[in-house]
Amino acid sequence: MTRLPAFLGALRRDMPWPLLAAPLLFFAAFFAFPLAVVLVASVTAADGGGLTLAHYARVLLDAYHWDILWLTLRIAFVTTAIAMMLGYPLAYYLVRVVEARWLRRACVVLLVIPLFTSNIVRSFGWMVLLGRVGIVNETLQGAGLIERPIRFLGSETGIVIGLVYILLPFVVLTTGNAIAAIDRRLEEAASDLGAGPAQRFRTIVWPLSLPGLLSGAVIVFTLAVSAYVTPALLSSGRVTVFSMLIYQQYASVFDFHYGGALSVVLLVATLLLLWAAAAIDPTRRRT
Amino acid sequence: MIARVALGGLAWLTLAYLAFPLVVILGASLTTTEFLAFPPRGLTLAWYGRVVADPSYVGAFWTSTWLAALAAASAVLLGLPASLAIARHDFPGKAALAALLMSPLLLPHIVLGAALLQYCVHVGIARTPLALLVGHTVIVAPFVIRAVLPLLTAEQRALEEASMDLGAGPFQTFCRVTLPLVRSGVVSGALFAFISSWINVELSMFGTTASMTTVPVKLLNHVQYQVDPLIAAVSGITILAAAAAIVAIDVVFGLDLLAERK
Amino acid sequence: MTAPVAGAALPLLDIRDVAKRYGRVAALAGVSLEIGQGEFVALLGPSGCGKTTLLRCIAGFVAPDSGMIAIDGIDVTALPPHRRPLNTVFQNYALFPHMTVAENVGYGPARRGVPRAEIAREVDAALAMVGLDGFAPRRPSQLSGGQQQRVALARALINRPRLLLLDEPLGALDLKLRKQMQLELKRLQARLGITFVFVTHDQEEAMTMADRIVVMEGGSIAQAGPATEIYARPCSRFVAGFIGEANLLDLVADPDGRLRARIGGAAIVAPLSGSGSGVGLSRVGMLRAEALRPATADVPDAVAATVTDVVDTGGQVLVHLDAAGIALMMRRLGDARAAFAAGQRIHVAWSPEALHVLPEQAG
Repeated sequence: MTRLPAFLGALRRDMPWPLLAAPLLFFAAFFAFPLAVVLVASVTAADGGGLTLAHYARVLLDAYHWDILWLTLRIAFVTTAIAMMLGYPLAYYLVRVVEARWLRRACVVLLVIPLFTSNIVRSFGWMVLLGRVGIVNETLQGAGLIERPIRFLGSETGIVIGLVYILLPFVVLTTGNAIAAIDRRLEEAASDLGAGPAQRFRTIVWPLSLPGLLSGAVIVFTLAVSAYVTPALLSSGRVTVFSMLIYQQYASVFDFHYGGALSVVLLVATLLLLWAAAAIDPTRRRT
Repeated sequence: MIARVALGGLAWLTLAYLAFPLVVILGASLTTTEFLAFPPRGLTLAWYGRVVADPSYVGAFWTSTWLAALAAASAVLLGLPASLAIARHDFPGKAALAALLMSPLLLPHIVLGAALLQYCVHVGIARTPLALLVGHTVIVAPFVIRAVLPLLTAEQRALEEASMDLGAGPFQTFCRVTLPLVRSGVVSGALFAFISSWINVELSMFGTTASMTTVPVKLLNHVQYQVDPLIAAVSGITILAAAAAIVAIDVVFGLDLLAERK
Repeated sequence: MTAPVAGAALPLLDIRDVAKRYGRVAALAGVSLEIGQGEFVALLGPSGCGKTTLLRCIAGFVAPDSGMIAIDGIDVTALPPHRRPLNTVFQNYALFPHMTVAENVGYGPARRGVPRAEIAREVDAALAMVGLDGFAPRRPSQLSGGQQQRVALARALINRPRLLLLDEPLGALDLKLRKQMQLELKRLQARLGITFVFVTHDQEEAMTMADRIVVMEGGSIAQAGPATEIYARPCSRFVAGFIGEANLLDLVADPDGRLRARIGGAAIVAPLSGSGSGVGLSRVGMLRAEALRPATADVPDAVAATVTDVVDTGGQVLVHLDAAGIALMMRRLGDARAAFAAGQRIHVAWSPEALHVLPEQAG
């Protein structure tokens, strides 16, 4: 009982209120409170009645929702894996192999332009490319590799292609930053102690750049799980991911209670993933 | 040697993958046909002319731009003091506060958008410019904090102490020492905030109306019932604007993000 | 350290029972200190002893949990840093990187609203004083470490403070420059008559510059006094060991009222002074390394010892000895290296008055 007054005293004395008052009020009013409203709606009955778990039961006891959640996670997982596999070599190449400063800068500009362009525009580019008579199918057919056009749009593959494209720059930038921060003298020391190029990579560069790769992967995974625009455009309405369910409830069905339960499920899933990523982060254990 | 060639090949393929859709959009926007074609058949700027002549698109451009400007300004007004508090003071719950302020970066925007819609219906400001603005401010404020916080180092703290020691009060110290030294962070944070707000779809689609809509939301609605070169032209304009912004940043700040630290 | 005599001039800086805790660690455990007008005082101690915290309390960057700090008889404990009549030369200088040298030096006068033309004159004079004429338009990043140090000094002194605080002012300079700046600082201080209080962990620097040294340990003042006194008559094992090379010997009182230690067959004898007496009383005696000299076996009280190491530091030699399990150090001047070799058996001796017996409470 003595700790609470001490805590409140510390709050009054140590909090820099003049600096924090505005941001805290704003975030309470327009971030925390709206999320609380969603949470409350998700556990109250639609007719304004008392507490109920019916909306959660509707979400969690229906195999359809589990299928969609599983599909969403699968797409996010594959997207993250591919983005890591493509992003790491590109980051390494840009930092360690490209010697001309102008070339590296040009490549960074190329990496950042997509980040500065709307999801919708970027996904639209893939709609054009992956369509039935799109350039990818025409090229593949022209080369005689396929007979009939592959259906990319409206398939998981199309969504993954679009998501990897949109999220790849995050991996390259976080990983590239980590590789750029590695002190070259560490590798010289390893070399001096008898390590060859492959061993130097495995024992020095890889472990020291891993935190960057992992933080990029966390960003990619969380954004992929909750992505709406890219799946919506590239699915042609044939594939449904979790965020689309939420959008339907809020924008066309107007069931805020059921939609609230869906939102909370997505929110909790995201938080759990972030928590798991922080828990397994190998860089934390050392400190 | 083989590994190096393979690495280079993979890297350039990946870069091509990143560039390709943008090239396709820009190319398709120049076609003379009434349908999307890449490579374009013939070259014309007619589709760009149609965008400029379309008042609904011009209106959306204005809406997006003032919304992004106000959201970025609000983000600076909230994010700069918050960064100072986090960097310069010790108080209970500091880590939790920092996590709260940064969390809009990683929480699903669609959930935030839905939550704000529902909340604004309660308060009676749903689908007003104010509702859009507060939502955008919440999601772009972390960009300012993330850009400013690393600049508020211990050395910077020593400079502020030196200023106070020489007789400058807290306000003078802030104006003459703190602000000039974090200016680059404020500018780049505000820029990221502006752009993130400008291109946002997932939050905006809950807050726009037929008469007040942003470019990305208008594109989303357009693309879902019709795909034509007009969309490519609108997209082309945003790509060129983004490229211009990045080249400007590169010239001013030097975008050599991936240079090795010596 | 004694209370001011009635009628005597007020001390410039009066620190009374200043205490500061960080969590469970007492950074300052009730420190009291008076510093007079025109004094050059060094706060000396190892890292974590509280010397920097004390300096930051004086400057106003750290608010003490209790106690009082007064400058010129005015209580400044609650005043923010910018209202205190003192200036600081910061560790690593804290020069504003976005301003020129002139803007850095003119920063203080500009805050007081001094007219532009006058600031320019004062800046020129201040830069001339530290030997940096013509450096006004440069940026701090274009200066060497020594030049940055001088700018920091000019930036503080232009305000004509009553008190100048210096936080490890020479720590970032190389040895030769440091020696030169030590002398320059001392001359400058003598000429300006401003009170200097500086923090250092380098005992040689403290001895070179300061009129008075305040040795700190564990958040308290271990001893304060003129350099020569602290060197010759340290009040504790800690002070003796921190300043110069000290040989510490355990002494025990014998029935005839004298203190004895036994090393290498010889009895070291010292008169028991001060309070307390009685058989079995134990005290610690200190011998400076330069008090030892080589001797022949027939010298009374000569101690037999084996040379373990010979360290030549140029111009002088430090000979490490083992006298029946007790480690001793002997410093010899000049070209003495050839006279000693590891493993050699020699005798050493010293004059009885060289042995300083630490006060009773010394641990």
